[in-house]
Amino acid sequence: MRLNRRQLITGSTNEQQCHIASMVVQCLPENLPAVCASIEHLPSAEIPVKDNNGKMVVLLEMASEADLLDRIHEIESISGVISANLAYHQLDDQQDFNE
Amino acid sequence: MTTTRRDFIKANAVATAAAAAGISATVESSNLVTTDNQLKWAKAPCRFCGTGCSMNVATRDNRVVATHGDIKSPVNKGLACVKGYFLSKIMYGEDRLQQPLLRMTDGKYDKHGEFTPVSWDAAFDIMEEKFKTALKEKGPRGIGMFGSGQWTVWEGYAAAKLFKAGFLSNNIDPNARHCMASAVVGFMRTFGIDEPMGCYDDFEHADAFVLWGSNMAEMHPILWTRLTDRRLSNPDVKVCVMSTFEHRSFELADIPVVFTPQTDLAILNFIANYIITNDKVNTDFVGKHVNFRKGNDDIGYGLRPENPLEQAAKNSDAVGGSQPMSFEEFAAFVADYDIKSVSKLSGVSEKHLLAMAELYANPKTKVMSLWTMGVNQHTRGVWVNNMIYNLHLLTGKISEPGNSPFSLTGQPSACGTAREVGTFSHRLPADMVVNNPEHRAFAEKKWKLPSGVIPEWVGSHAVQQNRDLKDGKINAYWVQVNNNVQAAPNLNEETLPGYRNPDNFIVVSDAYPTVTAQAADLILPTAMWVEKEGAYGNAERRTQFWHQMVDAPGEAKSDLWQLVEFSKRFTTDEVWPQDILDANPDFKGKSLYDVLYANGQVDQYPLSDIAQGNRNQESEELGFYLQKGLFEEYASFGRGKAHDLADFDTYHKERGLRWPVVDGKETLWRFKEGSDPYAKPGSDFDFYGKPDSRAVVFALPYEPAAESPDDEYDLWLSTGRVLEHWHSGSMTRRVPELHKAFPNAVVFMHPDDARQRKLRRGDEVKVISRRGEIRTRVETRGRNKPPRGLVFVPWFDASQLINKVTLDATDPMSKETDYKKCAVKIQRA
Repeated sequence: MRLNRRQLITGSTNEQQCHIASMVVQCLPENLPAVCASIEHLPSAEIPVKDNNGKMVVLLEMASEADLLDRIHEIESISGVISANLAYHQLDDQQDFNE
Repeated sequence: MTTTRRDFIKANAVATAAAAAGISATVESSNLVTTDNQLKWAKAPCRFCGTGCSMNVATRDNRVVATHGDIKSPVNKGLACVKGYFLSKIMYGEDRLQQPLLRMTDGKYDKHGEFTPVSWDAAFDIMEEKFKTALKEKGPRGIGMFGSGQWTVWEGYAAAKLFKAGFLSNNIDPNARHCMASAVVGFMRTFGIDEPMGCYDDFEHADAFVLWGSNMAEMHPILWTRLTDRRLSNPDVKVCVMSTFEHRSFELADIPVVFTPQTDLAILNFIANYIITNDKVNTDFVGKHVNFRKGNDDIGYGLRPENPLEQAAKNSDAVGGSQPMSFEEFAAFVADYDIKSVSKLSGVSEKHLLAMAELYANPKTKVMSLWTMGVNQHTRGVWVNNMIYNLHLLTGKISEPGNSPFSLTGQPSACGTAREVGTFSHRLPADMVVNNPEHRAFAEKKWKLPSGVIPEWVGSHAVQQNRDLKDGKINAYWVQVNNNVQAAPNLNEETLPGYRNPDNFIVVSDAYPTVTAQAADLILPTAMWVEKEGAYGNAERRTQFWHQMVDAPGEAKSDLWQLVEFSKRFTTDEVWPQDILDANPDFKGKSLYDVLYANGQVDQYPLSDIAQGNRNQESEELGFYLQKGLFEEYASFGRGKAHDLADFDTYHKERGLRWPVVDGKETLWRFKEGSDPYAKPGSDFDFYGKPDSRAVVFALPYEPAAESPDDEYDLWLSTGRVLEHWHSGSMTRRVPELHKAFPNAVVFMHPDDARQRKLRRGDEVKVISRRGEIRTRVETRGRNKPPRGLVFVPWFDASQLINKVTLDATDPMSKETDYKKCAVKIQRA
């Protein structure tokens, strides 16, 4: 593993980890505005696609896998969410700072 | 640079999810999930539940590093639940077992000794000695095996063959006894052939879904997503969720029904009564395709024979009996179940009872009924299965897209292995049974064995095995792929005394030191999931294969390797009766390995048949393609008998096929002319499992539970699962993220029940029954909301063994335990 300067200084090798994941979340159409608002209120969560039937794609960008799971749990437990499942996850850990 | 690549990854993430959700048809679906070209991707079904999601598994440097839902899978269409997502970590728990461990003192086996690492040879030596002693002293009934719905198809087959045709002992049973046995007997009784007639495609066709006790939102999240999708895209679709407590699936319920435990029996008869009195019987269908029978009632509770409940039961010796009756007699039988009395008994409002009944009665509504443990783990579980079929048969709503009574499955191969292979103590492959002489003769011929070797006696089932261990009737016992000390009921009084009985030698094969392994005398370290080549069969009859992708750690070996290697240590002279050997001198002095596996059939496929680039530890060691040989020999039992499987190589290419596979084509709906090749021309519907091609509607009454709350033990206890953990948690509790999400079990209870006992959320309490107690903490909020008078405790937590508390009452027909009903009290700890 090649370390960059900041990692050498801070002693942290995980600083630049970025977990990108997408989920499919479902709710009743009448609850869509409230559920969307609750999700978008969460840090590092956005809803790039949704439809009027109550289905949406949620994109998450988190610093660690543990944070990612916490966020998934937060979304699952939002009142009105009927199902929330993962579709995609990638760890982007490449360390290029162009320094 | 970074921004560009990250944007690309994000776009990919969104496109994949949108495709999986079916939101944006313009995005091309793709399984591309990484720019890391060192990863090798291959398909495998998920290791957990019976849904059978197909996963893409990434390996690098002999290690699984990632898993994703397979977008090309017809089951999960690219999605994965949170457990499936963390599959890559289940094999890498810190306490993974890597060498055999034997209890020893001063270098010798000692039942009270400490676990000490030994070689495989030493492990098999002591195991051989103990099995031979038990066989010599007690005969084939003195040994036993407890297997699993998580065995691969060929592991279950090799085990069943070793016991039934090698050791000549039918004392082999799978843990599917705890989960699917009632469903099996239900199928056999109503249809004469096991497993659902419909399939997952029904989710996209039904107009109504009725969940009989199942919490699909947590236990079958991917199927729940398909159900939800149907409901959201068709506002007229109705969802009825029934349970003894409110849970996450109620979020979607148009008809939410919380009923008093055990009254499902009465509700089912009320609906049948409603269909009949409102003239909604499909008389044409019933006239052509249905028989009516009155089942024996008052059949006891599957407890030990000396238990007063058994002594009092009128038909405890004829539990499965039934007599023919007419439709009019059936109508008169269910007429007692009127709306007023059933509403009072069940606690369900008349409005909701009517709404449910109308879903079944309305000929225009296509209904899918779904159930799992709420129905099966029930002292009348077979009856409830039969009675759900009653509703579909009275209305003719069966075997057509969307009209589907569908028994969900809890384990990845409860269907494919435990049921289809015939690993139950009474079964042989392809729905055949040991107490039928023709079936035994058929199996002996297929196995190229002398006539009369397979014993006719029905072996001990799961709960009986623990009783036999305690009573010293079984002395050598082997447990594979399950955690039965945690899973079996009444741990204090039955399970542990059996395992620790000084007369007994207990072997446990596992990947991790579960409580069962810790209760054993010898632990065998075991390869799991993609550390071996495997096959699973899911709930919709879909058989799925995978290749070995990585090597198992240390000296861990697959269950299959263990079974085959152990067979080499026995000769026919040692374990077969003299008269059979005298009549068949060719079999004298042969090892069981020669007779069962190197028999000219199982060993006929060369290593060159293994698809290029794949390891196969067992076959490389034996010199032939073991899995292929076992599968093809097994498949020969069902071909041409409505259980047809495709050939071995096909499954490695497909994402599963649903049997019967005839002329290369899978079958989606059985018993329906046009979609099932076995339905006879002109029949329209053909229930060919029964001799006259007619399914059976059974008249069965409401009867009370084995134990109900009283003044002292004043609460119902129901046990079950939570989303994050699968069964006893031996895999999911070793995934740090899942463990953190739900670290310990709690007792979910109604806030008023807590207040009445001067308890608050988070307080430490004891949950006490007549049999034992556990300490846990009170939860009055969150995902499960019990009504007053009922508490729910999940069973995944090895530090809170709730099966010290549960009762070993079983369904007298299926022998499946009722984990959903017993009486407890709760006190501050």
